[in-house]
Amino acid sequence: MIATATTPDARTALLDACARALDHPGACLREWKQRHPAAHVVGYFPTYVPTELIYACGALPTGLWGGSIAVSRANAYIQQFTCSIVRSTTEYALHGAFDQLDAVLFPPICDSAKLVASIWALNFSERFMVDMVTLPERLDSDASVAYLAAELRRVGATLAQKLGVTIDDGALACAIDRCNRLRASQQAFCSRRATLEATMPLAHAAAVLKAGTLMHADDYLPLLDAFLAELTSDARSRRSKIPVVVSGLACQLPHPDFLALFDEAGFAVVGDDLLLGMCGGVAVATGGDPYLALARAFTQGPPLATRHHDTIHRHEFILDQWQRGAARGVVFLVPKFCEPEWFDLRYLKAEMEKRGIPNLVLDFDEDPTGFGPVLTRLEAFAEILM
Amino acid sequence: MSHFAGVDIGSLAIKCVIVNDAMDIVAKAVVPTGARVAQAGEAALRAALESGGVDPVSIALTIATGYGRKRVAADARVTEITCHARGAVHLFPGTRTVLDIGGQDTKAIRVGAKGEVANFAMNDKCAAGTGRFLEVMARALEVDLEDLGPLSRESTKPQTISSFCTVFGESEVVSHIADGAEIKDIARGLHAAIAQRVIGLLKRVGIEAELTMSGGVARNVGMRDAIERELGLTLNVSDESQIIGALGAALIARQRYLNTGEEPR
Repeated sequence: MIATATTPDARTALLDACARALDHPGACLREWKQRHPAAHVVGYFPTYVPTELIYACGALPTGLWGGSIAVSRANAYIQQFTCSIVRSTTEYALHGAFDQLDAVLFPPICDSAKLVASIWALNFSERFMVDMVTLPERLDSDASVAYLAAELRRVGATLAQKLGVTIDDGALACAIDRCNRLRASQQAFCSRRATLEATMPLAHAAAVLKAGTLMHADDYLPLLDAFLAELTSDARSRRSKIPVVVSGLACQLPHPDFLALFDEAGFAVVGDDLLLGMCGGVAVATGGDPYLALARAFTQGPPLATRHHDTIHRHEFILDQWQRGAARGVVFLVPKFCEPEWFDLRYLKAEMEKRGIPNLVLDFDEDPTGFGPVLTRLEAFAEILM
Repeated sequence: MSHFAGVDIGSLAIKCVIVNDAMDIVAKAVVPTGARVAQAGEAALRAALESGGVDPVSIALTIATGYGRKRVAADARVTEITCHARGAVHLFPGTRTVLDIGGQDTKAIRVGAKGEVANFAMNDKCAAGTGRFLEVMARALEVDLEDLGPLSRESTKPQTISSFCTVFGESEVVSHIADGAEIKDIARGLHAAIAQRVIGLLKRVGIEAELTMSGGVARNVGMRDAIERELGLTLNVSDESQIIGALGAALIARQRYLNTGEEPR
């Protein structure tokens, strides 16, 4: 549960709602379905699935994040040297935690995600529809945009058929507008990280962004916008802290208690690219072919470990955050067994070291215990930066 | 005269060192950690005060370090990474790399030109490549932990232990015993296995001479031999290797109290 201090009402309301969405996702889904008995719920695996298509079907998109469940049954399907989100989401699915869903969409972001999509399609398709949004590898060609537009049209049609609805251009335009507003507010939240840090620790900020993938935008956005309206510049608490940028993969976050160690070690997180894949996309253009616009927006999105551009480089985003926040170091959060992130890490570290930027690598999984060595690493890094 | 105390709360032992204004070690003590860390920490400080005949009132500042640093009373807390580097540089001023093999974790530390911590790496949660690994294996071989190193020096036909994992490594040891291998040869293989593991850790931070070894395992000659063989260089090892972390903490306490700014952190 996220603790709240004596702070503006908007902040408390936002954190309480996000805490409830994260701590009790099943109960929140049931309540939402009671309020919208005719509507459907569609789960999606990080990092990128066009939630606009889900909203256009009148459904609630909800992110599948896994969690700190003891993995047992999933071991019969997935090898143990696979990242924890793949294993824990499958464990939850085997326990029936996702039986409220009508469909699940997967992006092919890595070999593990492709593997789990196939396993789910084979084992759970009687409970809910499973489909893969096959994304293009190259992002710099018109052919990629045309291909992805056709793929999104196929996914939308398949989903709509399964849910017994149709997607018309008006509904899709509304959905695009809603998601654009959601992204804009989340990006405003992220871009004010240095100011935000004074009033909200990293664990809470990450929870706010993560909850945005679980709650309906119409319930979430008013809370976030009210908080942003009340957010004032207050750098007092930063003065005694060490400013750092935190970088990590977009599809998995460490346990909140792990993120809380940043505060305990005396860091002020002034910039991060956590959850960039979920909320960091560019605005989707309105007015033309919506599928082409969605495809184009995807190809123009920020670089991630799972989405590489030839001309836009991931380290440039980190450097920009580092410069803006006057950070003294960079901490890389890398999920265990995450091939894309470990592949990127070597290059990212080299870019930091080329510029003499101190950096620390912390690996993690969803295990909620054994944080003592992590705190030692963070405190030792703080002692280096002092 | 003022004194300064460093208390290093390790998983197996608590080390306490007291230094004076001139940075001389005037007292030290090592006590088992046990299950009551706070009490054991106080006992270590008390034992050190008594051993050196130091008046408790003369302790101007106490710094705690080690995995249990937050569980004992102290004026300040500093990580064992910084403390081991500080202690190692004090004993061997040419130190550029520190290898600390403790009871449950292993650290590789790169030290900058001024003796400051430049980079570090720690082992993961498991006991592979730590003192605990040797403890478990000594039990499997039915020899005292202290005898494992000298015994390995007598090896004529070293056995290979291919697994870093403590559980799988113990299975391999049992297999070697069942095959009739001699204990001294298995012991040599065990030290070689840990050496390979810790060298991997050292390479993550970069190995630069001089390399100083700290922590309780530095007292094990078999371990030192194995690392020196693998690296092809001679390690700095002090008789005080086990208390280097506590020494570093005491020196940092002195530095903070006097605020001289003359030494590396």
